[in-house]
Amino acid sequence: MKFRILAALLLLAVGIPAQAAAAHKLRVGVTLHPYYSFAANIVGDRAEVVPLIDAGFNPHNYAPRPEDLKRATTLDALIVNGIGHDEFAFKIVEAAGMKDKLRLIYANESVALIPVAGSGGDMRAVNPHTFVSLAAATQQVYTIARALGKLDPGNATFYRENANAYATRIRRMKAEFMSQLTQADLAHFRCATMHDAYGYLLQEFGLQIAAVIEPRHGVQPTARQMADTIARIKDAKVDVLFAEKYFASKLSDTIRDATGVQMYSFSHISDGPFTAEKFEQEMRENLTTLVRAVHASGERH
Amino acid sequence: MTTAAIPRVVVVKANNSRLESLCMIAATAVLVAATLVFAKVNARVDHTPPLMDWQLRAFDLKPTDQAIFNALTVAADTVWVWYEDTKTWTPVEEMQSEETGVAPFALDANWRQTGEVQWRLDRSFSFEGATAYFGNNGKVPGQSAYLLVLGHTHKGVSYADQSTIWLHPDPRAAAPRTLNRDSLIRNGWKQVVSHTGDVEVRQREWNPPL
Repeated sequence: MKFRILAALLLLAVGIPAQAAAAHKLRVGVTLHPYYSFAANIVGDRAEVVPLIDAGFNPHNYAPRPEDLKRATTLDALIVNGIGHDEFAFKIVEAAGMKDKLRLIYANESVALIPVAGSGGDMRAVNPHTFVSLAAATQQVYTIARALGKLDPGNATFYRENANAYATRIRRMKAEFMSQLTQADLAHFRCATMHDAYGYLLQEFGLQIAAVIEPRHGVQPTARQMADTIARIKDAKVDVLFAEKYFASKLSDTIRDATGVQMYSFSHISDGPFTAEKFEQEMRENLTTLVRAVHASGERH
Repeated sequence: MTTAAIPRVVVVKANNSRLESLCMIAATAVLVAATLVFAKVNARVDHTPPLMDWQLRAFDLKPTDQAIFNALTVAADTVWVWYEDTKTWTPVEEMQSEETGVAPFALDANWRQTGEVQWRLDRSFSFEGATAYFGNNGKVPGQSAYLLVLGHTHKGVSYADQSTIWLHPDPRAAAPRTLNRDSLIRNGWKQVVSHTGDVEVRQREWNPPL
């Protein structure tokens, strides 16, 4: 009898931690909306995806809040852009005392970056907006899936298969919109953007940006810079200006009045609730806008 | 009769003028030293690998070459993922299909815009432990010929499971007969060094990637 009780206790002692480990879901933090979508589609119901900061906060002027620090201490890993759009994450991680404890997943680890359009010489700045793209997005999805698979080997195959399926959906979306441009005259399409968030996306469609209005996000150009930009737009025969959906700016109106460009708006995918579908939904809207702009430009030529 | 007043100049020396001068010098020295220390501590360490004469920096490429180069880096990742599952190298024809649509191979608007490069998969280098996708005959003035090399065998050596991308200034360059680095260099190919997120993160001196 004693032996049976001892054996039962031993089995319980061994079994409880094993069950707990099996039941433990990874808590994966994300800094930006697209990473929420990527991670949610990769992990399905086998891990929890948590935005590091609540929706509605502007990452460009964010100051750490106590609840964000507390949240950071509960994470197993944090997915970051890491190249200039989510510096707030590093402030939070440091302030929460998690700098050497939290596993950081750098989504852009293997992405070939492009310089900010218009930055030149040795001062060329890196364009951090890899998450407003399709091809670079698939690369980030693979990177995130690989990193999560290392942290959670039991689900590594599941994550890889989901990443593959999600990347295929992204590629199909791109192919769908590419097919709408089959007859378009891309060679004569000239565009400018308010902010350099769309360099990767436009490059994937074989399009180049003739001018970027804001020197940095939210930074107004000086009168001299503005005059130069207007001159550049006229010289390059730019007829489309892509502004930002969530950032109304009087600057774009000024440029439209001065140059006669047609205005369209892209989403920066950085506003509203964090959802698994957000990236695909907003990229679809962006691509619809792009196709409309290209066709309208073609009709004017 | 009036007497003109004779102006008298009186130089009044500060009691502690020498001390003031010393204080000013000391303050200036402290300021200069602090500036130098700050600059040193906050200097952005350049982790960019030095460029050899047979290499090109991706940032310096012309727009068409840069677009194709970036597409090839993504394609390399995609091909690797598929290779892990199927143990075969995806044929170009498969990546050209409308459904799969992997740039720069997909025959779409972007392909036309970037010169309609003719691509083919060359498996004949398997004895060298590599496979290559080769593209030439692009029509955009000034564009290059392209070579994506996927090193896949000899596990345990530094070049296993790595991809490299090479450009040739002649868009009509012939496919190389060997992927040996020295041979490629001798025949005018240049390896493109990309500025990846990994490099940028190191530049920013944050935590190293996983």
